Amino acid sequence: MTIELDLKGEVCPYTFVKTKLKLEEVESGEELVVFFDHAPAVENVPRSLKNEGHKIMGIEQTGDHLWKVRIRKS
Amino acid sequence: MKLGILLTTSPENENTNTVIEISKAARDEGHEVSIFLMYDGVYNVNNKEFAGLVDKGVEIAICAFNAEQRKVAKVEGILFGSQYDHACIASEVDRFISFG
Repeated sequence: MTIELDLKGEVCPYTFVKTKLKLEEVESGEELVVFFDHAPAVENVPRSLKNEGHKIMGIEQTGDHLWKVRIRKS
Repeated sequence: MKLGILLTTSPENENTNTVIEISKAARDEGHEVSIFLMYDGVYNVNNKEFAGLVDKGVEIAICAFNAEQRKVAKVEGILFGSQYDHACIASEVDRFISFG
């Protein structure tokens, strides 16, 4: 099952905090897809999550200042 | 020992020189030093002497959001990170000093 989280309009540090909180609702091995429109978050949130042991399955730019990040919970 | 430093003031402030001298002294004594820059502190990456601390083995991370707001361009060797990096520094060091 894939869970989606829309973080458009959110900036650091809420982008990481809200992603981390959402991951608490996700089962290990499941995927969370997060949508960002804040460029620094697209680099920093995946890096921080990798540091926490999660796997980044993909980062895709889907529009002008719009990105989709796929995270698999560890 | 691991030393963490938070700097939130711009390079005109005397804090910059204090942080440079503390960092150099700590490195000369063999201590690890990690610095996090936020608010106007992000301007310090454009200070040659401050950015030169990287060559002395000091780890410098800055809030990329604050840098973007202030149009501060990326500098090689400095991590344009987030408050997550600030939290990691604060949790890993033995002593943490804040200059604001």
